[in-house]
Amino acid sequence: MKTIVRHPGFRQTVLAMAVLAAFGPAHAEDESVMEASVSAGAAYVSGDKADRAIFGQYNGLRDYSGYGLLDFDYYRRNDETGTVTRFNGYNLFNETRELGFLWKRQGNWKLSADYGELVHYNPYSVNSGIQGAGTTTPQVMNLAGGPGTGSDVELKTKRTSLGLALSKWFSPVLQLDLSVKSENKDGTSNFGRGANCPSTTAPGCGFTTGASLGWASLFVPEPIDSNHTQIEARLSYAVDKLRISGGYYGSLFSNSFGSLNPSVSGNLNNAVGTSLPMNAGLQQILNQAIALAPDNQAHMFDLTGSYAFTKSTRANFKLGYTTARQSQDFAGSGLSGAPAGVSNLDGEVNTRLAQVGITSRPMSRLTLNANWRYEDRDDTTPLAVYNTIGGAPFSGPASYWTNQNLSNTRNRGKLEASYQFSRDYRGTLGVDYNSIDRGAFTPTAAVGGISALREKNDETGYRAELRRRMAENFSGAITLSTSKREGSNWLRPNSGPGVTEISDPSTGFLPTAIFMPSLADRTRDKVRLVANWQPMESLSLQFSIDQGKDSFSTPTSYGVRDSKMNLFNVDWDYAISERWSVNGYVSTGKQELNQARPAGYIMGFDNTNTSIGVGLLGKPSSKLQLGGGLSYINDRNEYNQGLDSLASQGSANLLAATGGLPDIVYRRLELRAFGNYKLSDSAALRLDLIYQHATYNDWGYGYNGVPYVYSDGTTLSQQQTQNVTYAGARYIYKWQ
Amino acid sequence: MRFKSALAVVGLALCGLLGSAWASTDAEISAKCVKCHDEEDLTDMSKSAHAVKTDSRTPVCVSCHGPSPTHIDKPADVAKRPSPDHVFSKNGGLQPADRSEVCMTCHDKDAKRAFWGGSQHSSADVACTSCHRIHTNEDRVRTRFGEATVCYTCHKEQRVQMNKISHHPVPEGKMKCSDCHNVHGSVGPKLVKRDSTNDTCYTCHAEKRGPFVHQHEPVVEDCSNCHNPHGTTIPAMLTSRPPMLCQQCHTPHVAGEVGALGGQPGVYTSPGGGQPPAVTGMSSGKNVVNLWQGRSCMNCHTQVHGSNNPSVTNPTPELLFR
Repeated sequence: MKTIVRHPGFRQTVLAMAVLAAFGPAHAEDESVMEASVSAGAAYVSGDKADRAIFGQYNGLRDYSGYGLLDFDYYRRNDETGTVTRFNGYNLFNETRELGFLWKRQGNWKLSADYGELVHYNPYSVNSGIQGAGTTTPQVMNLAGGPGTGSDVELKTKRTSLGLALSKWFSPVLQLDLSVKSENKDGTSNFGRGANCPSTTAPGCGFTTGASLGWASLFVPEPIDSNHTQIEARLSYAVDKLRISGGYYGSLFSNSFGSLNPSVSGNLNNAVGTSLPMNAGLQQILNQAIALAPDNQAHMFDLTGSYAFTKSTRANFKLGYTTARQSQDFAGSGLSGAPAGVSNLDGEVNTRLAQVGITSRPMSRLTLNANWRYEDRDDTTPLAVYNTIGGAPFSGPASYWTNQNLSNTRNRGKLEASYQFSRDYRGTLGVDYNSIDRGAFTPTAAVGGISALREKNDETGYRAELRRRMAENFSGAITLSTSKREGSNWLRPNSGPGVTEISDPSTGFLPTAIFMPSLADRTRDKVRLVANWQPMESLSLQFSIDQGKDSFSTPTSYGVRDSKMNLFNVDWDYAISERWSVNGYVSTGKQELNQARPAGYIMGFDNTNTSIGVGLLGKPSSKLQLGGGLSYINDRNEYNQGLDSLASQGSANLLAATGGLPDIVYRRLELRAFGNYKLSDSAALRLDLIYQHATYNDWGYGYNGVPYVYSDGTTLSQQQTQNVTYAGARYIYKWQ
Repeated sequence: MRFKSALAVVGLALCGLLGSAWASTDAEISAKCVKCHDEEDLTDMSKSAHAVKTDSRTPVCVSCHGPSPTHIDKPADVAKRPSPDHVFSKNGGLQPADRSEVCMTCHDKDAKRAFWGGSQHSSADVACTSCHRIHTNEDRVRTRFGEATVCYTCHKEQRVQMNKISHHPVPEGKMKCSDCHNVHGSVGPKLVKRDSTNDTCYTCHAEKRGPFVHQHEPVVEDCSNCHNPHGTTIPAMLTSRPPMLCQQCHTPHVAGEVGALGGQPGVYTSPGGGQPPAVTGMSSGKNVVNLWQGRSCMNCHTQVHGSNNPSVTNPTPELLFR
């Protein structure tokens, strides 16, 4: 193994001055270097909002057809003092603008500030009669004119962040880093509320009849106005063989809105669009407060480090402690009905983390790695009787139970050995271990809609990899891995609080029980093959194949049975000449998931994806640079349904009548091109063109001309075919 | 001109770094390197952190490439000039672990690289120079659009996923892979930046942290139980479409035993066999259309990440209705 000798310290010497003199003319003229550029222009985007739904999700180009373009970059460096100043701005006329400032003396101190905006437009357009969308008191208004006669509601969120960071090197061995970032998020997101009467949780409301409505599914957008502030501090010390640092991370989330209180009155529509009054019980339910995300905080402390026992053996470690709290006042959030004497959750979750790892090269050809991670999450949130179910008018008394503590202990370990057989061969064997112990189920809590839980899972995996260089210009690697996950006895939820451990699932659970894929016994197998080939200096090729399969073993045949994936890729890079190069890729793959629902579907879900990309970059002359790319994606989701043996005749008839669920296909063709023409040493002109053609037939909010209609007539829609052309031109001026 | 300035800076740094006993040797070496490796050979790196003379840590040519005496002064009896002691190219260069060792000689002081040894990339023979370019002013992997492209060199599955309709804004340049991953090593799974997947997600989605009065256990355990953060064709980057996703764990309690949509025959019209339509005016809210369309199960169970509603008034929020 090669070693490098370090020479800390800084001294000007006579010889240094001599070297300086040797380079003197070049250096003396350039004590300070300054470069700056400004680019300004305009862009046109074709189509309307519906055409730009997919294109304009994140780039701020959704609303209008014309945009101003303004970027700038300022860089100054003083070689005498080593001070660097950088100030830049991007997309300044757009709602995704960014500003960055950096001021540093490398190895001594660094100060930076960043301002950024990130916008997300939901691709769906909303037509609704709702009033006060985006507030905490929206009013649901049934559309008298029917679906499509309402107003547009924009679902958009915007993040605005400001960050400051300071680093100070007190000495070559001691460094302090501080940073704070505050981000505001505001807007509205897709949300709603629904209720179906009667139910054991809502015994006071009645069935739907021909005269009144006993259920509703409503579009109620979630109002967002929150702040998330993150503070980080780290003191690092490095001397000789030891590297150690102590760090703090604080995360403070505050929400301006504690609850959402929709006002629902008047008539709503039944399942076939007939306007009916709500029965009294339903209206009362729909007007109840909905809790929004509460304020919460987390504080993390850690001690991290490494120690080089020898040049070839090094250990690393981390000790961490996190406390997460949530004590938002219920009443202050507009939430009533808390258990007597309880004003807030007083939630507290403390997590302890310890990781230790060691890497060693006892011989030049042999590398050994081992690490172990232990994490203990302790949920000490006080328990209170928050839950009531049943009671009059249903038979039997009401049941009561508390909230649940979700603690767990996780262990993760790895042992790995790599051996360099020769310059051309390298083999690796590894063992991985993962376990989670969820602890005893809170005996005073209960779960609903679950067949089975499990306290513990553990998984052991084995990996083998062989890397080989077959020739000077051809190398490859094959990786095989297999893992098996098992767990403790299944737990059957009681009819009231608590669970019962079941030693024999065949008798302890109904034959229609569902066992979760995250808890079930599972075998996972993966193969990966990668090859890199450079047949000539100007051409490089890469091939890769990935295949994987998860098989689940559960006491019944319901839930997820298995899933598979395969992916084939070819990438290439070709230098046509010194001035022109082309690159590209083809990826094709398939994912399969087989899942069964009791007395219902047996679903064979397939996702097939083909992606193709080609890029060209060239410099036809000293003044002109051209580039472009073409990308194509074809993503098909198939929902192949069969019937479980317990399925009803009604289900069989419905499946026969519908023919099953239609495929959902997303296709996108995108052409990008740019040209940069140098007008002079300090000026250039740049033209950017983008053409995007996308089709997407998601049936979630409508199919075959029939929209999904909320109970108040609200509909969401997205244009199935979207075409956008973007043309931007900018003038770039540089100072040096 | 600028490149010579950079080399002058390097040369001065070289002299500053070393004691007088070394200064003459390294200064001479530096001058010799520049004689052959001029601006025609190497790109401008004057803005690079490796060219700052006032930083006592700044390396010089030999710091990384080794003293390389036979490369500089080719022995008379050798036909071909030997390579430098440390070559960082794939062909004829150091093994990946040795290449990284050179960089880590200086860069291991940063706590962000404390877990490089034994990390997934280190074990997979990914060297520092597999991703980073040193002799440049713009290291592609450290640029907003270039980083993902470098990552896709190996992570093809993620390239496919990022191109799907529901994704984080990485292709748009508003996020980078390193916003979630510490590629240099981490105690979290899959090289996530913080100690766990959930803690990493909470750096942007802190509203999901809770704890809540009514919790949803798979949410608390691992966000990736339901989400694929690299991208899917289902809104909210869900791994599977509701109700299928929900029914992977939950016993069904509603109609919609088979998937069907409002615009299909048999749903609002009779499916035949003497059966009534799947959905009529007398249907409850638990009908096939509400189950498979709209927000599916979340049409009613809206608070799928957890609810802080303490109300013990029916309908109590423990089923995440409100």
